[in-house]
Amino acid sequence: MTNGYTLTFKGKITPDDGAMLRPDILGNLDRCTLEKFTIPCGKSLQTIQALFNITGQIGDHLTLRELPKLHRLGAQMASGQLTIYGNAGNQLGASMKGGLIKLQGNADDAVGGPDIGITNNRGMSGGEILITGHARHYTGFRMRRGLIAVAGRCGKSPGYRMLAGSIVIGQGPLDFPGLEMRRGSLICLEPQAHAWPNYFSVEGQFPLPTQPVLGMILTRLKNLNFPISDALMHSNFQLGSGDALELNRGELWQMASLA
Amino acid sequence: MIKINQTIIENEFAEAFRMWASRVIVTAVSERWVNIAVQEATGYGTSVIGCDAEAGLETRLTATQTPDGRQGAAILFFAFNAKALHKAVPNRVGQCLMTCPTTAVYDGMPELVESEDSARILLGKNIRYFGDGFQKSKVVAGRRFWRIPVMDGEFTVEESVGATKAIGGGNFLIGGKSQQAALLAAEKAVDAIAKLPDVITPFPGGIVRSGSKVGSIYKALFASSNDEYCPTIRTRTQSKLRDGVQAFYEIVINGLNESAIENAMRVGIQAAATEEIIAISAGNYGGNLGKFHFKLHEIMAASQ
Repeated sequence: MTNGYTLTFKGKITPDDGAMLRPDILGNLDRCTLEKFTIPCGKSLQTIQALFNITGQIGDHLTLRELPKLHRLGAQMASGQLTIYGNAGNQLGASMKGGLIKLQGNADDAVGGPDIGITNNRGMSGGEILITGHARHYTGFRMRRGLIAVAGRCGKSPGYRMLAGSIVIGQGPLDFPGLEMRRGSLICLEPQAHAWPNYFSVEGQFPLPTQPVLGMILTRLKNLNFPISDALMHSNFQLGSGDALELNRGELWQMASLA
Repeated sequence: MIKINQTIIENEFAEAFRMWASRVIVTAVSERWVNIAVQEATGYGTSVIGCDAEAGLETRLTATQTPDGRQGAAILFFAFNAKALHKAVPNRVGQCLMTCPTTAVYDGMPELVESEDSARILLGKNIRYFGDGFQKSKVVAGRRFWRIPVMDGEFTVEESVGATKAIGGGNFLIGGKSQQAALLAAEKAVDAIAKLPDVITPFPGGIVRSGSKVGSIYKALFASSNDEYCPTIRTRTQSKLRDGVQAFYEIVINGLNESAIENAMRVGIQAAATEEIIAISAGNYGGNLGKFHFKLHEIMAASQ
C-alpha cells in the first residue's frame, strides 16, 4: 500500500454517512480536486475541505481520524486501504468488493452486510475488514466472500444468513452464530466460549497444524497485524457443521484449548 | 587459460534449452513429512527424455514463509512446454502429494497470469472432484483454495499454479584425478547450488554419471553414452579427457532465467575446483540446438 491522504474531522458539520470516504474514490484525486469534492450533509453538499483537515498525498491508503460515528463507511469499496480511528456505525464495508478496512474502534450492526440499493441484497463479495474493538449484531450478514476479523466480541448472530467467506471473532460467547448460514467459516478464538447451537453438528476436535485452511486464515491475519499469538497457531479446535436447516456446508470452529 | 585454484576451466560452453517451469509450495505438520512429500513428488523426475517432468527441491521454507504457518518446501517442475506441465504437475500433486499425510499444496508463483510468457496450470480446480461433492472452496486474500475431505482431515490445494518460460540444461562437467575425488567435488558443487533460489539440479543427488551425446549407431536411439568423456575407453574413442583425469561427473542445472543458471554454474564451479580436480568443462551439441549458451570463461571471469 502506498501512502495517501489523512482526513481529520473538523467537528463542525457531519456528513450524512461515510459512503464517499473511500480510498478508491478519493485516493487518486489531486489535492485541489479533493478539497473541492462534495459530500451530502443534510440538505446541502459540503466540500471535503470544509469537513476535514487534509494532509498527505495521492495514494491508495486513506486514513480517517476523529470521525463521528458514521454509517456505511467503506461501502462498496473495491480497492485500497481505509484506516479509521474511531467508531463506525452500521454497515461498515457493506457490499465491499475488495481492499482492506482497518477500524481502530467498535462497529455497529451488519459489518460486511448488504449495502442499500444492492439488488440481490448480498453483503461483501471480497476484501478484508479488521476491527480492533467489538462489533454489534449480524456481523457478516449475507456476506458472499471475504474476511472479517473482530478482535473483541460480536453481538447477535454473527454470520447470519452467510453465503460464504470467513469471520474470525476474538472473544465469546457467540449468540446464535451462523444462523441460516449456507456456507462459510466462523472461527471463535476464545476457548470454550459457548455451548454448541443445536443447528450445528460437532464433527470432532482437531489440532490447528492439521487444518491448513485455518492456519492460512490466521496467518493472513497475523500478516495484517491482527493479534494472533504463536500459541494459537498450535491450539486445538472443535469443528461443527451447520446450519442443518440450510445446506449444512457452513462451519463453526471453536477453539477448545490453547497450546 | 583460466584456472580456479589448480583446476583448468576449459574454454567450453553449456548449451541449454527453452523449457517451462512451475513452482509448487508443499507444507506438512513436520519436517519428516515435508521431506517425504518432496522425495515422492520429485521422484522419477530427472530428464524429460523419459520422464514427464524434471523436478527438484528448490528450497526449504520455514513456518513464517508459507501461507498456512507450517514448515514446507518449494519444488520446481520443468517440462518441454506449458502443455506438458498441465499434465505433469496435477498428476504428481494428485498421486504423490495428496496421498501424503498432512500435506497442503500452494502456488509458488501466484503473481503470474495467462500471457505469452506465462500460464496458469489448473490444479485444485480439477483435483477437487476427488471430494465427491463434499469438497469446499475458500478464498483468502484473493486466492482460491480447494479443501478435499480425506481420512486425516482435509487436503488443501490451490486452484491453479503459475507456469513461466524457463531454461533447462545449464551444465558443467567435473574431471577428477580419481572417481572418488570427482564425486566429492560434485557433491560440494551440488551442496553450494542447493542454497540458491530459482534453480534445481534434477538428477540423482544433483549429479549425472551417464552424460549423453546426440545420436547413436543404433537407429532406434537418439542419445547415447558420452564416450568422449568415458575413462575406460579413452584409447578407443576421440577422448576429450586430459591426462590424469580418471572420471567425469556432470551437474545439470535448470533455472527460471539465465542469470540464475549463470550464478549457479559460477557457485558450483567455485565449490568444485579443488586440488584433485584437473579440469572443468561443459556439454553442448555444437551450439545449433539450444538457444542458450553459457560460456565457462565468461561466467568465471566475472568471479575473478
